[in-house]
Amino acid sequence: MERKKVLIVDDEEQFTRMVKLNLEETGDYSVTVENKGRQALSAARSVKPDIIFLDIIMPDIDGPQVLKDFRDDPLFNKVPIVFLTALVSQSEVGERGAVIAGNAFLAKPVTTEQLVACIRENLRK
Amino acid sequence: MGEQKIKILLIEDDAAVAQVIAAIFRKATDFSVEVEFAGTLQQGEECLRKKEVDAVFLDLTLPDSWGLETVAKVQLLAPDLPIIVLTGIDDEAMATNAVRAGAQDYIVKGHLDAGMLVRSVRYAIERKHAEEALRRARDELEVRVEERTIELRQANESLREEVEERKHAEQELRIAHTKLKETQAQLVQAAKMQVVGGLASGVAHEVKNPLAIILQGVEYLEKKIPREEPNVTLTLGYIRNAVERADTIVRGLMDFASISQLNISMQSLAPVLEKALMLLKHQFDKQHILLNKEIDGEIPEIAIDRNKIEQVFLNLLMNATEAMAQGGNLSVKVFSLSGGKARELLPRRDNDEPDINVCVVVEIEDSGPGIPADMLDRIFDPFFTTKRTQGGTGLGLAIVRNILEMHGARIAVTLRNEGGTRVRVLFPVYKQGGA
Repeated sequence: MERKKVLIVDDEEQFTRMVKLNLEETGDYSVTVENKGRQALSAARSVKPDIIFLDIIMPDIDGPQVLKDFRDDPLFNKVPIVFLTALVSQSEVGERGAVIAGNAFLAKPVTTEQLVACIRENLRK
Repeated sequence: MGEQKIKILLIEDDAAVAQVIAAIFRKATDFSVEVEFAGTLQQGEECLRKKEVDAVFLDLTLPDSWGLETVAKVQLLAPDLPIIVLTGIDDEAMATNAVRAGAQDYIVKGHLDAGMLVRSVRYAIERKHAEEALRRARDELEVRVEERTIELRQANESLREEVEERKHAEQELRIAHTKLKETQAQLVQAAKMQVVGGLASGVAHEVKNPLAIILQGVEYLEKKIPREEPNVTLTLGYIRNAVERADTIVRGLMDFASISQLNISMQSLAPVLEKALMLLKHQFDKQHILLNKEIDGEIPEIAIDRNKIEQVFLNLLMNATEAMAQGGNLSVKVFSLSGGKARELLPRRDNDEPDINVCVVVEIEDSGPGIPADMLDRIFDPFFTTKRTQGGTGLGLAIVRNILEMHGARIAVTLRNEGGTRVRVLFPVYKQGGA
């Protein structure tokens, strides 16, 4: 089975590196990391991800603005995008994340199991 | 006195006596006397009706009246008139009785002399005047006493009203004081919430990101480090647990400070409570906790955020379960009260609060050891916990109260007389047109 392509846009380099290691360790995913919010769109254009995880608070640009840029681009307006953020708690969004006001959320800290469950659920949709 | 003219009515059937008396008065030098004769009581009465008279000489043996009755009849007709009884020697005793009955004096016919007659008339008139003055004084006194009594009654009434007013004012003051204390407590609570809320968002972002890195790192190491090394596995387990504990605290903080909108819809409380009970069923069985459930089927639907209220029930039931580690009885009741009983349980905090119609009560009772009385006031304070060593964050009940206040509901925790704790959650149902 072809590995699903995951793009993670987050300024926390250590976090993205660990997520990449763990997800790729499963053998099911190919992960691309982008630590600069403004580079997210160009990274996505080169990777063509099946799913995008997006941080909300980043020093160069806010996650919601990046989301808007993706949604305005016909190449990515159908790609599932999940906010992976410390701003929400698992009490609010559950272990597999939830959709709030039309946007999908997953709370940090997150286990690989939770990430995988979230990816599967969003790709199934 | 020489100018004074006295009119006397002489009621006497013996004409001789009458003439003697008239003659005596004619000779009186210090005042002039006009004598009117009446031979019977009837004539005398007619005369009294027609003419003004200053005194009456009254014989007690008249052809148409005899004895004391005669005095009574004249008195009845002319109560203010002095009466001098004329008596024979034989009926002197009766004359004395007549004086007792109201006659001013008596004269024995056999001993008539001018000086005595004149003195008798003058004294009789003066005594009568004195009596009159005394009566008037008494009447005046009675009027004054009556007036004073009315004044006192009025003063008493106004004093009573004043006392009532003071009592009322005192009562209002007490209510105002209670409200002030409540408001003060709410302000303190709000200030705490503001501080905690401000901390929460900062802490959440700053702490959860490193936690996310640690957790991912631990997961990676768990896969890569050989399992044969028990201390490494143990250490990684500790780190993972530590991350989870830290995350729980941060999560609690975020929940506590949650400013997210409530997702309100009309719900029956019963299924929400049933779900929380179902989630804990395994725990009840494990701890030998006997559940007694009484849910009134008639309770009205209320406006709640189902998930948040489920979280409230779960938290309260877990507390009860933890209080009965060695087993016990758990009682869960849901019922509603209306009218005065509802208002008694949920009194209005201020005039702006709409009037409630019904109060839906969820009552959870455990048979555990109860909460020490000195801790009851603090159990809703953020970070106050009796379970620190078991990983308690002290945010559970603070969150519960926060959620309930967002719903306009209230919570009361009391100790049961028979031991254990009683928690009552009170949801208001407002009258139509209210909130």
